[in-house]
Amino acid sequence: MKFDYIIIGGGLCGLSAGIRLAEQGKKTAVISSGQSALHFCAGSFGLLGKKGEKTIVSPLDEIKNLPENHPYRLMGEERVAVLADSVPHTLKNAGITTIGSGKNNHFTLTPFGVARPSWLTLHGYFTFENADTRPFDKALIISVKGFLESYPAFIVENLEKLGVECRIETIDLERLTRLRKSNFDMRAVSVAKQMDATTIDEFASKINACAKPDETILIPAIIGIQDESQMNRMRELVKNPLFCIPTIPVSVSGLRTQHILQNYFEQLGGTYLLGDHVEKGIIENGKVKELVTTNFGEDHLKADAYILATGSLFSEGIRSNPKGFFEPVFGLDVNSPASRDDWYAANFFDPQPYMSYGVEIDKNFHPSIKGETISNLYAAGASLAHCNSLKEDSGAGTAILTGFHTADLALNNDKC
Amino acid sequence: MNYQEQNISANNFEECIKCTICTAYCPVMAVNPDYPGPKMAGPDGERYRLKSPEFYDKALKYCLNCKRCEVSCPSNVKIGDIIQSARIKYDKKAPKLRDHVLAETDVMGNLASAFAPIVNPILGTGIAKMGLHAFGVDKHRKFPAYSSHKFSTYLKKIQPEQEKFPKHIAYYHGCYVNYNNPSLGKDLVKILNAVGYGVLPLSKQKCCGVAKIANKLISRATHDAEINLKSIREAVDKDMQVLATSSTCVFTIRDEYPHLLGLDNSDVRSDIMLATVFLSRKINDGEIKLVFKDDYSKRVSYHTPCHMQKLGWSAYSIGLLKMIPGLEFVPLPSQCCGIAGTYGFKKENYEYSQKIGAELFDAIEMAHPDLVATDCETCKWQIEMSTGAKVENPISILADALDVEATMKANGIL
Amino acid sequence: MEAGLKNKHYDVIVIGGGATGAGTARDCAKRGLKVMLIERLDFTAGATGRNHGLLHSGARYAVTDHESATECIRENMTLRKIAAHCVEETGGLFVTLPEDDLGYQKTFIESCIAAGIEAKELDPKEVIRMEPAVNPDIIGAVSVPDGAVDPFRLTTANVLDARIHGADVLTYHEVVELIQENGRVIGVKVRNSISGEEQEIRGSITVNAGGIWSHGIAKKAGITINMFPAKGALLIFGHRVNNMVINRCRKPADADILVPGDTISLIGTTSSRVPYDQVDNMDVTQEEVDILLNQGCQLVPSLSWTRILRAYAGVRPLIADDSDPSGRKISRGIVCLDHATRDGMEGFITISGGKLMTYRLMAETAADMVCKKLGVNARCTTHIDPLPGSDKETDNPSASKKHIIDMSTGQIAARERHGSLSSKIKYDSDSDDALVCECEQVSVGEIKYAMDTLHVNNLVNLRRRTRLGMGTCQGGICASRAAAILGSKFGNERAISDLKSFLQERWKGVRPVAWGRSLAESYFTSWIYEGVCGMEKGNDKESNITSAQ
Repeated sequence: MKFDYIIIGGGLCGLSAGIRLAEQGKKTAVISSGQSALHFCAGSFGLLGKKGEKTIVSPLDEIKNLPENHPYRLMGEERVAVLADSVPHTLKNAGITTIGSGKNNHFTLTPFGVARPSWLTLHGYFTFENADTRPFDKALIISVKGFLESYPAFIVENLEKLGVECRIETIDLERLTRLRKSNFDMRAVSVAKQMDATTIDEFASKINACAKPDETILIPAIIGIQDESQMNRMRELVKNPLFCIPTIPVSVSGLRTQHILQNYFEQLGGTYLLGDHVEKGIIENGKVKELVTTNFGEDHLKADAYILATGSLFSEGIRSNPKGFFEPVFGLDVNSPASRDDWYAANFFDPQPYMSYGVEIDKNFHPSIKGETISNLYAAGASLAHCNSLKEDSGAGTAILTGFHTADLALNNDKC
Repeated sequence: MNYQEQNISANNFEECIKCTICTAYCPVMAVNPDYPGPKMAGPDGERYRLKSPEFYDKALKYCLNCKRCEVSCPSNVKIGDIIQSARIKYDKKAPKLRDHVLAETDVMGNLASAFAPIVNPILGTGIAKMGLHAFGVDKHRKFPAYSSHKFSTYLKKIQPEQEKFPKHIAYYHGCYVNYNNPSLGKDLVKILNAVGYGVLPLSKQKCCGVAKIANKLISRATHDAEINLKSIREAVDKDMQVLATSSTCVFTIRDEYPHLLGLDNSDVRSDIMLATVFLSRKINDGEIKLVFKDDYSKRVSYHTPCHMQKLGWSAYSIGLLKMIPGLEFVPLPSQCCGIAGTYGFKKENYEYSQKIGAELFDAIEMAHPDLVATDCETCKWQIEMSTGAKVENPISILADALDVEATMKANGIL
Repeated sequence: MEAGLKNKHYDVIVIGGGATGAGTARDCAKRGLKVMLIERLDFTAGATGRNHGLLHSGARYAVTDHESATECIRENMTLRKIAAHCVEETGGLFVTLPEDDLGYQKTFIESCIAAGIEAKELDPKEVIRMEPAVNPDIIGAVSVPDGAVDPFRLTTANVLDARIHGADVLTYHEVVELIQENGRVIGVKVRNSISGEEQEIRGSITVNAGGIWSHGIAKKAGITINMFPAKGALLIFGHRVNNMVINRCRKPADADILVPGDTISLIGTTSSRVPYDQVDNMDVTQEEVDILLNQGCQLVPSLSWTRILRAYAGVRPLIADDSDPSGRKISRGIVCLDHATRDGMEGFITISGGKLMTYRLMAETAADMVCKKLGVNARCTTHIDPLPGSDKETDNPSASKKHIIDMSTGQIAARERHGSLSSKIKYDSDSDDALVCECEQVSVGEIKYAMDTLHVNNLVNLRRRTRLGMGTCQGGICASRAAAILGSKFGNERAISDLKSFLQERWKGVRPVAWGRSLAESYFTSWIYEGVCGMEKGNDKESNITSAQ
């Protein structure tokens, strides 16, 4: 089967690239080996949130201070700024509402109630401008009976440090009674699937019954698995200001965002191949000739250019064994030292060197095999070397921006 | 040190990093809290079953075998295979008589076809439905009508003329085309003949066995599978590819035979494919051309059957449909319809079956197409029963839209 | 429990919450003595919780140490009776590989029989059918009555029985001083490891059952015990690779035992002398991992491609034989030192040497000496009376076979972990049956039970009592859920900081084998806790308490 472009990897990065190419009318395929790490997003996207222990205020101003082989540096400050500016617009076109811009980070609350810098925050979540000041005076934190994936007491613990007066109320939702009897089902997505219109009404009226006039209501993010309308409905029904706090993943908003982006890509004419695995990339004369996949078998998939957006260790974009780290599709060059002793930090919370291992690229995002550049292949997103997206809080930014950037490079023969 | 270069475990169960994505995509878990879900039933449960078989959970019977967990798994764990293998290995409860009857599609089909004029009206009566309900088949279910003329008889009859074509394929028509819907088989013959291929029968064919596997009639399934593989090998030896028009049959023969029955089919696996795959590939390679009527006008949605999703081939079927000028394509999200073969026919599963399909049914009502295309016959029954939409195999839609004469001309047959 | 300690006078104070200390406390308490058991950190935090969990048949020692072998087989048979819920009767094999001397097998069988160990030569072909994991190239095989024993459950059961018989128990209390009066130890001064608070506890006899730390404890009374800290490292594999214990039939060496235990298998051990000041800091090195894998794969080839969950190391409390003035001769057997006769210090006993298998016998020996000193005439019954949880199955209606079909897998797992005591786990509210740890099937109800009755102060304690966080994901999924439950009892600030310590403790064991999916798992865990939940590195004080665990 022949396409103009094939993207390997169907998460935030792959879909960003795919949407960019499909918007230009190109025949584009995205091959996704299983679902993506986007399902684990906590309702907000980071562009560049942290530098060491420090929180970054203006991410775009910090690009120049990153190491020179960081993907943002390879893109260049200006490119990052232009593309970052375009992201909310593209997301809006797909049907995703966000708050925020690349000029200044804002903050969201994590499932533990910790303030966390954010570039773009998805619909319905609580956001505030300054992490050190009290975002509101009084909070009513809603706990849903039987649901173990939200941490109201931890939220109180952290909000009280900011001087917020907190109260927890536990709400028992009729429709979850049966679910609670099962010992496996009380996850955010399972609960969200039970939230039909009647349950939303019940939820809202039970909140109204216990809310006091000046309280801000914080609920676990268990509504809106399809689209943003359920949250809007909740806000219409509840008298007080109402926001979501992320849960332990799989996150409802992550799953929703994945689906909205995938649908948008398909509406643009893209082909999304879920559950297929690229077993091998055939390289000839420094170019990818075709891909061999599990499902297409002897019908090899061909394209003019390819984008590798296979993700991190989590998504198996990078794999490891006692000998080292490697890129499994093409065997691309990866920056990992030989000795295992160098791979880790002793403390779990210290920057772990292994998290920055990934595919080495040139200034046009072309990877290489044994030093030889592959001219019609681009690498993007979490598979890239030299960025620790966890420590930098730059996972979503890297995914979307390098996705856009490589798509543009592919469209314009490396010129953009 | 050469140790630990890679991890190898049965059905990749040790690749699982407990991310729980599979549970978000399990259609059963969302409606039946008694089902522990793919993670627990699959890789987590496997660790415990390796410790002691007493940890086998009988609730694994609620698994539809839709494989949507496998499709969603970022770690390539064969979750569905783990669950089905565990059912086969540990569930010692003998299948009910009802399960035998539902699974014996061949025997039932042969009998019913012979007496179709009598059987069909009876199956529709209230008395028959009550009887079946007591027997464990849900009263809401409508049995597909049986055809009085088996497709296999027809295929034998036309064999001499089919032999005359320069190129040939062998057709694995399966039970549905044979007993219920011979016209789908005839549609395939029409298309293939128009592009220069004769359609020949396999020397012998049995039910693919999907229902027997689901109902744990493993030795019967293996027996049939061996007959099928033997015939398929004979066809492949004669340089024929083996086509089918049911995604579930193809999936079972290609993947369930080796994974669940332990039968090695690696020598012929790539020669067994869905007819839409064959046609697409030949068209893409420039070997054949399809020409369509210019007055065709229909709004068509495509429903991706679970096994089609697992095979990853919906791009082929959709691609072919989109080639028809005048066909307005309306995408549907890929979701389980809830029937899962004999699963939805069972009284105890009816409610879950309908709840699972509810989202899809809503989506179809919203899309409001003239036709829903799908590659699986049980999905067709379920969607027709639950939405009132008309459902057709893509091959029948292509045949309907095909300008036979022009196609033959384009392929140099006339 | 702490209130009024000052005015209490104990007959015996036992220092050390390993199997030996807990066993000694149980034995003394059952003989009617007033007992105080003190542990510096948590039960089983030392060598008890850092070994194979092998229910030795004694065969391993048969050729080299007849006395240990006879002790082992006797205790082996005893534990099957008194600690049924801690024991898995798997059976064991001693296999000979082509590169080994088959002649050794004959000597081995003869020595086993001489020690009373039922050793039977088997046809290697038959063995490959019995235990498919074994290297198919084996040229000889012998079956022995090895099994698996869970040291965490065993120790907990001993503590529970001690308490049932009136003993007081303190965890997280370190002995900082042995209080002496007129050449006699009359009690101990302890410091609460969490609050730093100090207090004195008085007792007639003090038993030093501190394992490798006995050296330091004795020193507080000016007494020298020559100990040889011998580090042994082990690897935990992701699932049960084998169903019988597999030993290599040769002179004991590195990594020649693979033990199946609960949901996993363990290969070990290495053996290396470590300096005494390093015993609190046991990191497994890359070299040790390589040795374990290299040797282990010879025994069971599939270890080469099986996921490894973690590595850990313990320190054997080997003790110098007092009979050898040079101090070089190491005693492998049980050493019970009466410091009155040895060092002129009354009221102080050290019990050491031995092994997990002989913990009960060690306890009996120590209790005998205590009784003799106190002039109490009470006989030991610990070899007859079953431990709590191991009473007859019929006492527990929820354990009958018929009932199993209606039990959730979590409930069956809990029954295996707590034996008949699992009937005390309440599944009253809707969510009590909800799983917190999905890999090891630990429910909310089981956690509440452990928290209320099994001396749980933190997540690491909870792990040892229940297996929470011991499975494939090493706490990635369950740690926060469990922390929230602990938070309801101990406060949320403490729960959050404990969560950090727990994740660090898990990482410590994963790190030496962090590649492949285990590394991906750790990465995912980092993502959840740092990325999603916004946790950051705690200050050093917070993680101090559990870092030593």
